[in-house]
Formats: sequence, structure tokens, C-alpha cells
Amino acid sequence: MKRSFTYVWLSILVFAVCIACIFAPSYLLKSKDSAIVGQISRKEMASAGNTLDNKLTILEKIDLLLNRDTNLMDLTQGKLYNKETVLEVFHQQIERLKELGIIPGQEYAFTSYDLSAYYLISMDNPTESLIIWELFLNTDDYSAYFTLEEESGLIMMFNLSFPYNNPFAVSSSAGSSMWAEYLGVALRQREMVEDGASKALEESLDEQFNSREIFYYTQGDKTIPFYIFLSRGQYTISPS
Amino acid sequence: MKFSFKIFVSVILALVITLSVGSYLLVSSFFHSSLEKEIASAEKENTLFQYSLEIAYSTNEDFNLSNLSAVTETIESITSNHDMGFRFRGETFAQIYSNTDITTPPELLESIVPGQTSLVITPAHIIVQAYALDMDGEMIYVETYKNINDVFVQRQEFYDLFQTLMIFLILINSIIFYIVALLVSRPINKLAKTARQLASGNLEQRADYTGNDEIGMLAVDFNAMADKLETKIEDLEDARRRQDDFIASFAHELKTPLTSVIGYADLLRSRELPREQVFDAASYIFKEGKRLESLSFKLLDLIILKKQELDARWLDIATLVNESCGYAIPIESVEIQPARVLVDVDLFKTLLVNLLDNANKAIAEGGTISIAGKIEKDGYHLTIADTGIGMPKEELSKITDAFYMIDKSRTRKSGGAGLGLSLSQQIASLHGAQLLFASAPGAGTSATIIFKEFREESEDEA
Repeated sequence: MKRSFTYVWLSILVFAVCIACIFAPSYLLKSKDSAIVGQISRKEMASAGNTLDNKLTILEKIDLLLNRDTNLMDLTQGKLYNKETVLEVFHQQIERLKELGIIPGQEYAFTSYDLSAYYLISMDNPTESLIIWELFLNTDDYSAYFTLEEESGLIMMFNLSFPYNNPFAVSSSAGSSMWAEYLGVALRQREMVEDGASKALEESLDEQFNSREIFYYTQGDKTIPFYIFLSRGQYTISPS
Repeated sequence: MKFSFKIFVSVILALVITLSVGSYLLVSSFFHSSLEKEIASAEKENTLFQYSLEIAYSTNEDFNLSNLSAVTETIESITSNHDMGFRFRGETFAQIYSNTDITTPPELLESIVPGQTSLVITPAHIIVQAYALDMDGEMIYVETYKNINDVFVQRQEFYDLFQTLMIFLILINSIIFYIVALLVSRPINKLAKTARQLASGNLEQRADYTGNDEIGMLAVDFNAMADKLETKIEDLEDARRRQDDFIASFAHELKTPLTSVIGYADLLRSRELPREQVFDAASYIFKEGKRLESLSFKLLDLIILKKQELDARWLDIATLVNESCGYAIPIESVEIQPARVLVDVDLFKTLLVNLLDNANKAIAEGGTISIAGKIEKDGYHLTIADTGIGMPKEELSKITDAFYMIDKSRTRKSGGAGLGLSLSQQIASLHGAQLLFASAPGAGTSATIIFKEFREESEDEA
């Protein structure tokens, strides 16, 4: 009798422990929520103005531009320039590119243009941000697109489109070294890239002006590849 | 409580507690990790929102506090990727603009300190962050909201899954562990059953488990113990039987002379007998009385011997033999190789006298006695041999038992009680010596005392 009672008592105890072990953690987890919910914490906040003085190098800014994990916000004007004053900056930089022989030395008329400003901020690290300006020029003789970073005032990439029978004499190798000088960075190496599209293009265009090459530009620890696309009617320098 | 039940309960409890603690730690750790990520993400999004708002405010002429709705699209574009709710309040905490109906805990608004962001998780599992922004001298309060209920829901889902898994594991493992517990305890149960049978008197019962594990080793040890126990019990039974025999023999040895003594005594007191018959009766009573006296002395010797400590000395064997032969016993030859043995003089003489007395009785109808002492490989052999009547070989193992007599009438007639050789055997054992007999009917008997320890030089040389 006593033995049977011990078995029953122990079985009930084991069952109770099992039930407790199954359900107690859930209760415990919820009870610990009181330490999370409703507790106010404070943190120092920074100002957005500081983020634009973030001392990023030009290549780091270009890297941020390429970063997909960023937030882009349309602006009606920049922090340093508005839509009128920034045109002068664009003009100066285009002249500088012409002087260096990076782009053809013709006149770029600002008669028909489109100008946009954006605020770009890294979502991973919100202290990294920049304001960029995009300029589209469009005439009967050519169309052009330039991207300019407001703080440095440097053009970060561009694309020129000319009619088919209006060639200009710029070689990609000369362009790449001059581009390094313009950005104030070092040209590390050169890599020829060939793909089906460029090959097809090569066949249809004059060999002298057909090339698509990747150049690596270095500044500090940062290295950014740029491709220079050169054909009879197209000329692009853009980070890749 | 059964051993199998104990194993079962222990393992189940260990499993359940381990699973419970493990799942709690796992879910808790995962939850806190997720929560920290969500808080970090909310803080980043809040910072993005704050920076974007400040930039939008400083670069958009249309963006002012009195006309926030004019730039709603811009503000919404900031938050569109993040599913973030937000609210602006004026200096009096009155709402200026909001894209959500989530309410902010009043204590959070009260906790706002300029230059700091206050954060709280509401009971609805929404991270609310609030801070003050100075816009051209005018203070506005910004609140951002991020719903993190998914983290809590996911935690509950995880735990629900663990609960289901735990119940399933407990049920499955209960069956498995119960079977395992039965299998593990089966050889132990068999061993216990064998032990019970052994305890109930079945001494031939043995454990038949032959595994190489601890239980197998236990079974081997158990069987060894059972073997020893069986031998010991057999020895005890043998000893008890001997004791019974001893008492029966003793009673018989007392009864036989006493019957005659009583008979003769009764005759003497009840009748007038001629002087010759009176002498015969008195002689018989005297003789039987002496025999009883001798019997009691020898019994006393036997009892004393068991408790006695030896007063041993190194003595010359030849001297001992010569002194023992001083009695009127005809010895034909004595050839003793000189040696000394460690003996108690009195006891050893008793031993020799007993052996010589037996030899003397054996040659009553004709024969000779010889004594020889020789050094052999296994010790010093002192042999007393006679050429008397001898005895059958099967009797040799019994002649040292107390009261054992081959020919009872002859032994009694010669005044013996069957205790002499028993006494001799014990004296030899006390000296660490062996007493061996060899005999054949009609060819005589030899008794050999083997001393394992002896010195070859004689006492004179020493």
C-alpha cells in the first residue's frame, strides 16, 4: 500500500515538474518583459550639420554614392549652394576637365539644362552623408550629364553623348590618368574588360575610339574602380 | 521502489529540466539579440529621420513650422523605406503633424531633455523615440515610432514550437527511457532473484548473467561469494555434525562405564556377596572409574589446547624421543638423524606418548615398534611405525576425530576413549607440524610428524 502510494506520489511529482518545465519559461519570459517595456532610456543626439562636415575623402564619398544601403532625399537646394549658384561651380569644374583634356574642349552651353539636388545618408552609419547635384545638358549637338559633390565641389562622374559623326580625340588611358589628377587620387592599375556588348559595339565603330576599361583609383585605404567607356558617340567616366 | 523506476524518473527529470532551461536560454538569448538589433535599427532610423528633417528644413524654404503639411511629401519620402511613424508637436506639446495614430506615453514627453533622445518600448511593443529640435529659435518635439511587435510574436512562436517539441520529446523519450530502464535493470533483477534464492537456502543457485559490463563483473563476484558461502556453510554443517557426534560419543562413553559402575555398586549395597565377588565388583568399579578419570583428563587437555599458548624452545629430537620412550614400551629400533625442533616439551612428549601408546596397543598380539628421524626435502620427518594389526585405508581420515574408535570393544578394553589421536593432531597443529598416517590391515601403521622448521645441528654442538 505504502509502496503504491510512493509510486503514485512520485508520478504526480514528475508530471508536475514536466508541466512546470514546459510552461514556466514562457511565463518567465513574459514576466521579464516588465524590465524592457515602459523603461525610458536617454541617448545623446548629434546634429545633421555635423554629418556634412564628416571629413570623408572624395573616394569615400563616391563609395557612399555607390552604396545601396543609403537613403536619398530630394532637396530644393543644397546647404552651400542654391540652383543659381551651383551652376557657376559646374561651369568651373567643366572648364577644369577641359583643361586637363578629360573632356573635349568645346563650349558647353547652359541654355537647356535640368538641375537636381539630393541628400544622401548612409543607413548603416548615419554620420556619413553628402549632398550631390546632378546636371543634365541637352542641345542639338550633344547631351551631357554631370554629378557634383557639394562640399568638395568636384564632379564625381559624367556622361557625354555626341552624334555618331562627331568624333573627339580622347584616349581612355590619357583620360584615366587625368581623371586621377582631377580627383586628387592615385591611379593604381588598369584592367581591360571585354564583354559581348562592347565587342558588338567595337565591330560597328572605329577601333581607335572603342574601348571599355576599368581603372582603380586609390586614396588612403579606399580603392574605387571606375570604368571609362569610350566610343565614337559616347564617353563616360563612372564608378562601378 | 524499483531500480528501473528510479532510472526512468531520473532521466525524464534530467531531460525535462535540461530542455526547459535550454529552450529558455535559447529563446531568451535569441529574443534579446533580436530586440537589441531592432532597437539599434530604430535608433538609426530615428537618426536618419532627424538628419533628413534637419537638412530638409535647412534647404527647403517652404518647410516651416506653420506649414509642415506643405512638405509632407518630403517627410514621407524620408520614412517611406522604413515604415516609420512620426509626429511633430509644438512647444506646448500640441500636435502639429502626424502620420500615425499611435499615442506616445506622457512620461516619455515629460522626460525629453534638449540634446538627448528619449526611448521607450510601449506595452503594444512599439519603440517610441522623442527629442526636441530647435528650428530657428522655435522648439518642436519630434516623436518617431517603430513597431517591433514581430520580435515578441516571433519569440512566442519560437516558444510555442519549443513547447510542442518538448511535449513530443518527453512522450517519445518516456517510452524509450522506460524500455531502456527495464533492459538495464533486468540483469540486476535477475541477480537480486538469485540472491533471494540463495538466502532462502538454495545454495546451488548462481547468477547466469555473462556481460562484460559492471553488472557482469558483479555477477562473477556474486557467484564467487556464493561458492565461498556454500563451502563455508558446508564446513559449518560438518562442524555441527562433528559436534553432535562428539556429544553423542561422549554421552555414550560416559553411559557405558557408568551403567556397569551403577550395576556393580547396586549389587554391593543390596546383597551380601562372597569376598571374591566383592573384590571383582570393586575392581571393576575402580577400573571404570580410572577410565572415566582418564577420559575427563583428555577432554580437559583438548579444551585447554585450544586456548593454550606454546612455551616453545629449540630441543634435540633424539633427547625428546629417548625421554618419551622411558615408559615400558618395547622399541625395536631408534634411528634419529640429529636435529633440533621448536617445541613445547610437555605437549610434544604427550604427542609422542600417545603415538607410542597406540603403536603398543596395535602390537598387543605380536609385532615391533621402530622410531626413525630423517631430514627430507619438505622438512624433518619423525616416524613411529609398528608392525601390528594395521587398519583399512578408508579409516585413516577418521582416526583423528574425537571418540572415533575402529574396534570399540578392544579400545575400551585397553582403557581408551578414542581421544588420543585427536589430541595428537591438535598438538602437531599447534607446533605448525603435520601429522600423517599410513596403514594397511595386517601390515602395521606408521605415524609421521613433519616439522617444516628445524635446525640440523644437535644440541651438544650448539
